[in-house]
Amino acid sequence: MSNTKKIVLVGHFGVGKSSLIKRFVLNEFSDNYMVTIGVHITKKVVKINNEELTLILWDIEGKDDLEKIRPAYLIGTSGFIYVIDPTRIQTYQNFHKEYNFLKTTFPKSKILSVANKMDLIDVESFQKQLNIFEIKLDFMTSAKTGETVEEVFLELGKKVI
Amino acid sequence: MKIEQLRDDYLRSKTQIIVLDKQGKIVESDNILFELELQSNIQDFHPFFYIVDSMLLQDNVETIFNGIHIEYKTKKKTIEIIFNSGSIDKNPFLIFIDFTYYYNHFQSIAQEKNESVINFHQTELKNRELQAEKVFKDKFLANVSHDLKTPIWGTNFFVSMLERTELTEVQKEYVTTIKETNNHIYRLVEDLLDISKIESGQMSITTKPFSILELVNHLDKICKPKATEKKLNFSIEINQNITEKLIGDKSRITQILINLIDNAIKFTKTGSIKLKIVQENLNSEIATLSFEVSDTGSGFEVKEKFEVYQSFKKLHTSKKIDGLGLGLSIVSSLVQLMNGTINYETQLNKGTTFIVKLSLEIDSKK
Repeated sequence: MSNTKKIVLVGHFGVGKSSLIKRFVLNEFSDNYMVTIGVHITKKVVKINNEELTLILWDIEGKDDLEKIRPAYLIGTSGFIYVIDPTRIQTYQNFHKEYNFLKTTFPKSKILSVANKMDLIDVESFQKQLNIFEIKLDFMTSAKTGETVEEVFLELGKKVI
Repeated sequence: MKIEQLRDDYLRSKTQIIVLDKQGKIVESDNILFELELQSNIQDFHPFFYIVDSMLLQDNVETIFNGIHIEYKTKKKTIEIIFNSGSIDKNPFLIFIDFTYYYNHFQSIAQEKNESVINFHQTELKNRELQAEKVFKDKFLANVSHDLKTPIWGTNFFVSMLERTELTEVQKEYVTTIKETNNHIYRLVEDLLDISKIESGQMSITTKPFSILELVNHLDKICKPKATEKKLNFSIEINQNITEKLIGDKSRITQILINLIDNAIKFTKTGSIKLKIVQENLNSEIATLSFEVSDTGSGFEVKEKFEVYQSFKKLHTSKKIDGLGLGLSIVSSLVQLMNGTINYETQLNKGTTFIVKLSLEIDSKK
């Protein structure tokens, strides 16, 4: 029987959490933004080091403050993907506070930070912005083009296995 | 009918109760919302229930999960799930409550709200970036222009001194070329300064009484030699009934017309340049003048209007034509500052006409 881990995507609304999951699970993308209310749960089986791992992916509604997330959604989480939108400062101006909240509230969970929508911006100027806020991200992705999306989930899979 | 009976009847269609064993197998289900198979594992129904797995063996656990979207067979519902680790014959049970209607309704409200917030955030960031770019550009232009002016003045001074000394004919020719080149650089720097003033909002219009006929004579003196040098015919046609005494910014109107005529000369190889001035109204207080500068030059491809007047955008891509592409931008900005209008008609290889319309106060003092 395969190993099963719960992964939760967190971040502001409109950063592309649902799109990342859709790209990873179905290899699809839609330009139409559809707000997530509540939670959508999907699963995908991946192979890590020749072992099967079932990722249960929780796509929860976006919040401007992670502390406002319904606590029940986060029970039993093995890994978080904290997503920001590089085209909106508001989604990462409190990055450290929110990242630390996850780290201290769920000390056993692994966290990866990701900037999605990289197809929309100039990487160099975004990097300058990140330097101003002293943010170091784990990944930069584009759910639209598919760039680095799978890598994020597989990397988190390796960390939680 | 009793209250309890009513409650049962009305809530029954919106709830489902499922009894599990400690391994997560479905022991009992009333299947009101979803058709579940008895003896199958709840995890096979939906991946959400992997979370329940860890709670099955615990005692006295009750957890409520809101807004869970479940798609199963043909049914798509948003439900609240209550998990209790053991109260029905000590077996765990689940209660589903259907909130699909509520969530769908809320979804459309949230959709509208979030979209407008996202647009606002993105516009705000874009404006901030544009503003930063503009500030940098204005500051750079102002500083560079000022720094360039001083050495130009210096060169001009020594060229004038040199002119007064005894020179051979060849040397005189060289001095004239240096002088003309220096004057050209000076004009470019002036243009840069003007554009930086315009873009930083520091350019102002000074209105004073002036004579339109004097302005026209001045233009003729300045522009005719330039046109003649290129063997072009230059003419000014002015309406006989024009009101002579007006109030406005004479030097800026002159600048507008010189820029347009210079442009026309620059892009015309053969033929003529014409300035036509017509008074369009006979009002006793305001004179609306139309200044038409037409040439028989190369014309240009019709672009978006804003692009024609954008600074640093040169309409003609020919490398033989010098200049920074600021002329039309300055003209357009000055016309705007005077509350006037500017339009153009152009035909590739046939010529261009720029039409500037300005409403100027009539000077009624004798």
